[in-house]
Formats: sequence, structure tokens, C-alpha cells
Amino acid sequence: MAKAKSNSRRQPHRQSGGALLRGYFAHHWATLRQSVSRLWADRLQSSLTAVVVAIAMTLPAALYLTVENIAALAPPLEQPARLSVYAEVAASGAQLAALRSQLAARPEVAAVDYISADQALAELAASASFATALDQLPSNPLPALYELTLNLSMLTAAEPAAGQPIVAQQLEALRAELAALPAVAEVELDSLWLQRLQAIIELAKQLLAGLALVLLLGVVVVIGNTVKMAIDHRREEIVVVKLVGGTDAYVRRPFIYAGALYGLVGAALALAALWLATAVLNAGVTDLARLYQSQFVLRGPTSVEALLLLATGIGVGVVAAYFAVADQLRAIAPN
Amino acid sequence: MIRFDTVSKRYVGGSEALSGVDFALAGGEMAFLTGHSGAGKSTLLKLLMVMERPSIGAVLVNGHNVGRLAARQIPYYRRQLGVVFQDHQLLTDRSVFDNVALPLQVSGERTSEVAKRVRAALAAVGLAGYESKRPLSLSGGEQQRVGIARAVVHKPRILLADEPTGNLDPELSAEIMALFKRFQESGVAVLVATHDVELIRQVNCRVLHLDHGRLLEGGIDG
Ligand SMILES: Nc1ncnc2c1ncn2[C@@H]1O[C@H](COP(=O)(O)OP(=O)(O)O)[C@@H](O)[C@H]1O
Ligand SMILES: [Mg+2]
Repeated sequence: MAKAKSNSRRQPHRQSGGALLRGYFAHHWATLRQSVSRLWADRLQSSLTAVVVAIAMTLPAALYLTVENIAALAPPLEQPARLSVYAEVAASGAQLAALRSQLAARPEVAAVDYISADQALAELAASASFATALDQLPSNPLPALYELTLNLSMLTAAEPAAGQPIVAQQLEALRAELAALPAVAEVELDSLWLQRLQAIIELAKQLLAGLALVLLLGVVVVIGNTVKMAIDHRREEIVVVKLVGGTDAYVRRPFIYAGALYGLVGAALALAALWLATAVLNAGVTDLARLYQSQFVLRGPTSVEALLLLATGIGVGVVAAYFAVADQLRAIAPN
Repeated sequence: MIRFDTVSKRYVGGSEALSGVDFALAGGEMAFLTGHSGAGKSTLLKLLMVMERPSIGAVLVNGHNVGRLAARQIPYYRRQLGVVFQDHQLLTDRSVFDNVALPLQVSGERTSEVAKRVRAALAAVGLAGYESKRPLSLSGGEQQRVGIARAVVHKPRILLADEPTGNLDPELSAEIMALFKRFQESGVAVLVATHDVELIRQVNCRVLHLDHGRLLEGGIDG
């Protein structure tokens, strides 16, 4: 202790690396505290900025969650798509057997469930209301049915047309192909609506990405402007700090912190709004879901998404502040 | 310590503020920089602070051509200087202590060391115990002395002052000059721009006389 003291007295200008590092962190901490108290001192402007930031961040986040919830409601595409192939009523047993092996041989077809015309009739007859009506018929009017479970990964690649998911096109192509087989009356694509929904969700996601980008730019402008106003108030201070040997990084630091805080508080408000909205909506949704005997619950932001939103807020705030200060620093650079 | 080698400065869209200025100032030497308003005194000091760069010639400090310093080197160079202004440029939103501490804080000095040096600098300008006061509650002379404490707190080898007594009465001006003299005696090179002829007469030291950007008197050959 005594030794260290005499050392520092002998070399007043020298600092150990550790001491410099401590000084550095102490400075960061002091700057952060100062930034917070400055934002607090200017509460009205600060909260205005934070609220605008929050709105700009809530919008795309809410839309994202909406799309996510709709996507969760729709069965996943990975679930095997199904095709129903109806044979012609007049088809002979040999024809039916040939069709069955033809279908089963296709690589896209994972499984074939055969429901004969007699089976179909028996099933129909099992429901009591139809029984007497069916007795009157001279012959079985029902076609034999092959229910195909498809292996989507084996679908042959077709030329992709713009704006449609490839899978939907391929399924449609397969449907047409099967419909042309002899002894086939009709082919129904059970999952077409699903394909369409997936396509809509895809499109919505792309629109969302664009919207999010525009709104984030808006956040940059809003935070940048607020930081610029703060800089205008402290122009004199910046000049003095630069004159006594402050680096650009030193000058920038408090404004970067301010920008980061605006972004963080804005994002936190956005998160709070999203969680609140999810909770309120869920009260209604669970009632509705119960009516449909569904377990469906709207989901709010996950913790990863929440962290991502906060990080985005901070990142955007930092970038905005950086550019706002760069302007000012350029103005007082020597020429 | 300081050498101007045929330095000219032409501002963008202006006439020549300095033309072919040649002079040298040794460590521990004090000089006045005089001349009419617009003679180029502030410009000369700004070249030394690298707030401006020379159009022609070299400004050498300890043998380094500071006019050619890269932007990111300028802060480290400026930490070797102490600067005092007529309008003292104190930050009114913080205490005397925080104002004086600024040059130490920007270089990341330890907190305990900062407190020690700030007290020493304030004592040196006769303002011991003024740490927690606000600049606006002080008289003009006191404010200027706070400005000087800020300029010397980091023990610079070069002290530059631009019209440091411009707003002060003769008695206070003499006090300030006595302060500069003391720093000179401790080995600091001091360059004071002023048009206060009376003051120059009182203090016996070298005079560099500028007229329309030309050094008429006190330079290397003059
Ligand atoms: N930033 C500037 N841009 C253009 N001209 C300037 C600028 N600063 C000073 N000048 C001009 O340079 C000349 C010298 O100015 P200055 O160095 O301020 O003189 P002094 O300090 O001796 O009064 C003056 O003619 C002034 O108008
Ligand atoms: Mg001047």
C-alpha cells in the first residue's frame, strides 16, 4: 500500500494498464448515468421520442405476430398432402387393380388407401338416415376411391411460375396427370387451400419485411432528430471537449448512449404493448376457440423475439446517434 | 518548441489571414502576439491548436509538423496544449470542478488523480475551495481564472491564450498576466494574443507584432 503510494507520487503521469482500464469503465459508467439523467431532465421530449419509436416498432412487430399466429393456426405444410382419386363407376375389377398398382408405383405416392365401391356404400348405409334410400337403388352408384398420401419431397420439379410456391404448382401438375389416367373419373387435391394459405402467408411475410424496413428507417430519423436537438444544445460543450483533446469517440459516447436509450425504451414500450394486446385478445380468443373445441391460444412475443426487438431498438438508436454526431464532428474538423 | 516556417493561411473564400510567418518560441519562453483586430492573431493560435491547417508552410511543435496530423491524432496532440480564451468557454451546466477536470477526463485519468490535480490547479490560480461553485455565480476575473486552471490542470508544456484579458479591468488583467508569468517560469512555453498595449508595456517579454497577416517584429529575422 505504502509502496504503491510512493510509486504513484514519483510518476504522476504514468498509469498502469489496469488503472487506465478502470478509468475507462468508470468513464463509461459516468457517461451512461449522465445520459440517463439528461433524458430524465428533458422528460417531455424524451418520452415523446420514445413513444414515436415505440409506435414505429409496435406496428411491424404486431403484424409479424399476426402472421405467425395465422401460420400456427394453419396445419403445417410438412404434413403429407393428400389426393383423392375417384375411379369411373363403370371400371372393371381388372382396371381397378391395374390403376391401383399404377398409383402405388409412382415415386411421389407414399401410400395408397383403397376404398372399394362396396365399402363406400356400406359406410354410407351405416348412417341410418340413408339406409332406406340406398335400398331403392338398382346398382351401387358410388365410385371406388384411392386415397393417396403424397411424399412431397419426391414431387418432380416443374418449371416454376412467378408468384406461386413451387409445391402448389407441382401438386396441380400431378393432379392433372393422374386425372388423365385410364379409368380415373376425377382427382381431388385436398390440400390446395392450404397451399394457397401458405402462399398468402409468404406474401404477407415479404410485405412485412418491407414495412419493417421503412418503419425502422423512420425510427432512425426520429432518434437522429432528437439527438441532433441535444447536440444543438451542447454544441459549445462539444467544441470545448474537442479543444482540450477529447477524441471523436469521447464526444460521441453520451449521444450514442442517449440514442441507445431511446431505442431501448421505445422497444420496451412496444413489447409491453404487444404483451398487453396479446393478453386482452386471448381473453376473447379462448372463448371462441372453446366453441370450436380448439386449444388455440394467441402467442405474444417469445423471449428470444423480445430480446431481438430490444436489441434492434438499441442498434437502430446507436446508428441514428452515430450519424447525427458525425455531422457535427465534421463541422468542427480543421481545414 | 514551437516553430513557424513561412506559414501562410488563406481561408476558403477569404483573403490571406497570415502571410509567410516565420518565428520560433523556445520551451519556457513567453511572448505576446499583438496587432490590430483582424491582423491574424487568432488564426496563428488556431494553427497551433490545429483548429485550422496552414495553406502554405509548416507549423512545427517539438519537431512535428502538426498541420499534417491525421484527424485521429489531433486529440492526443491537443492534450499537450493548454488553451485559454477571451470568453473563457466554461460549461455553465456543471461545477467549477467538472470544468477544470475536463482535460483530465477526456484522457481517461483516474478519479483520485483527477481530484488531486483539479484542487492543485485551482489553488495555483487562487481559487482553492471553489470546486462546487457554478461558473455563472463567479465574477469575470474568477471565471477567467477557472479557464486558466482548466488550461494548466494537465501540466501542458505549451500554453496558448487568445485575448485572455479582453473583458477584464486593468487590475485583473495584471493579475492574470502574473499567473502566465508564473507558468512560464515553471518551464511552460506561453503565447498570449492581445491588443492591450498597456499590458504589454507592464510585462517585460518578447513581442510578436502582426500586421495584416505579416509578422513585422519579433520573428526570426525581425
Ligand atoms: N473562419 C474564417 N473564415 C474566413 N475568414 C476568416 C475566418 N477567421 C478569420 N478570418 C479572417 O482572417 C483575418 C484574420 O482574422 P483573425 O485571425 O481572427 O484576426 P485577429 O485575431 O488578429 O483579430 C481577418 O480578416 C478575418 O476576417
Ligand atoms: Mg482574434
